[in-house]
Amino acid sequence: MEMMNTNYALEVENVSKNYADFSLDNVSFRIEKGMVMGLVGENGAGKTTIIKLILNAMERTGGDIRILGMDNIKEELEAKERIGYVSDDDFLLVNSNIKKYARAFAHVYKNWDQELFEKYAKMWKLPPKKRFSEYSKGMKTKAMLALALAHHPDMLILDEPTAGLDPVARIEVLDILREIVEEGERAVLFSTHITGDLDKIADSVTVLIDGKVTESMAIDQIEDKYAVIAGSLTSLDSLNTKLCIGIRRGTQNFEALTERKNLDRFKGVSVHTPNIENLLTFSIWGHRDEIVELGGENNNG
Amino acid sequence: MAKVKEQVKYNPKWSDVKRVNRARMDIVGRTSIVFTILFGVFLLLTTGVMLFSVFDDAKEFFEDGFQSVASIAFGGIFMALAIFAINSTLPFMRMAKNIEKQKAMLGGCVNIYETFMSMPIRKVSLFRQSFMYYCFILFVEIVPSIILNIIILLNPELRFAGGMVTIITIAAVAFSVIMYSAVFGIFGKSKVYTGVLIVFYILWMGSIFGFFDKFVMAKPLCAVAGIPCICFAVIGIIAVIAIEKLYIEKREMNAPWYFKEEKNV
Repeated sequence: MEMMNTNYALEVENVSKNYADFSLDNVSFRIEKGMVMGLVGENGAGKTTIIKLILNAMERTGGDIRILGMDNIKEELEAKERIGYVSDDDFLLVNSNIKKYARAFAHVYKNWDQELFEKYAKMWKLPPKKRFSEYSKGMKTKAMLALALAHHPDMLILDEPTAGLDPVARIEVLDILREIVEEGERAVLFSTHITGDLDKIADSVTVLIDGKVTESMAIDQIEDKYAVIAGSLTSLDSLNTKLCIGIRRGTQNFEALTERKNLDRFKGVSVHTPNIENLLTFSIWGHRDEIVELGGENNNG
Repeated sequence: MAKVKEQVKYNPKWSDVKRVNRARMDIVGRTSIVFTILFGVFLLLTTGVMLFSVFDDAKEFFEDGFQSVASIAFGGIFMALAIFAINSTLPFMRMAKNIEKQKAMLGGCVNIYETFMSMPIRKVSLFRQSFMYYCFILFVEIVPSIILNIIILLNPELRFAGGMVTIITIAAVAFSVIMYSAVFGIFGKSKVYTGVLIVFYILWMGSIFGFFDKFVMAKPLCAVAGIPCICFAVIGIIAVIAIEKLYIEKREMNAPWYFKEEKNV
């Protein structure tokens, strides 16, 4: 694929990273400007590794990464000037406070907007002089969001921002993210294993399983391309089983994800519209060649 | 009328190193400044007392023996090392094998490093900022030993103390070069860094308890005090600066931020 298209906020092209016991295998996806992409996968699928590669924290084995048309290594400074990053593991020094961090950010970012930062801090009730050790996990996430947004980034990279949050904090953070996304000004890469977080936020989704991208598509296309089918086990035979992306099977019934073009190969099944969670979970089971029992254990298929 | 505090703004005239240093100071706050002043005062006292004693009555100073001279010298080095550790933006990565262990052991400096990683800052600027403070160690360690050698050179009556001055010079140069190599990633292994610190403490304590007193009287050691030791010290300083400018800064110019890579998904 041709690179350097400035209509894209992020272009990840055939990126590989090899470890002794894990590898990212030719990962490719693109995010258009102003669009929100969910990067979904189970824990250990390689989501954080991709983000660390985008930030030039790790050395890639192969491939290219462009942020807003800029090479993420050769033009690292210019690219990072336009990125806002929120980590799953907060990088806030426990003895410090958000006021001190804001001063540091103001020294480093050309476009730092102190008024905007103070607006967010006030709106999200972040005490400026309170130590981070006294902040809750939700407050720390909001603090990182305020710091990430106050220099007017064109792109946000969110690495599991809702991981470890209690339900109330998670809803609050998601509400904030929805507001940010609704502005529609910036592209967002939202990595998560909680697919429900992406509802009403994401425009597209990339599914990552064991270091490989199994699907990267617009949310609207999921229901156009796939369907969840449910029915009696008698509806399954050796031929149509192979057409399932993943199967969840009970003693008498089953659920499966398949492409809509194959629906006529399944008789007597009910057809449902899939969501992101269906796409992820059935893809994982299918990738591992497992047939998962409804409410039971996994069987190697 | 209430005093209005001026809002911090990006200053395009600042160098990257100054920017990194100020950002680090902003994040850490007064704590690092207070400790730097504290260790700095102790450092000035130890080094100042040593130099004052030498200039006041060099013979009496050297006759006190290796125990007192070495304990003052090692004490000064320790203070300088503490000032470096407090102010460096390098997280002493090699003390732990991977980023998770680094975070667990060294939360503070690793957190600052991770913050900088996501910001428009070059990794090499952190090395330059840290090297600025390392030069302080280099200065505090090696310059006093050069002064001691000059005094022996100027006063042949003090040649009897040449052994202790030679040992102090060798220890200072060796410690500076090895510590630099460990912290700035020449060796790349955590055990080298730990080993250097252990050897440093053994030498320090050994000198305080007088284990090396007889050894320092050896004639070959007395003979090389003076010009050979000064040359050795100067070569040590030049070597560290050359490695920094010609190797480390080139290596880190576009290098990825994480030093050690293990599975981190």
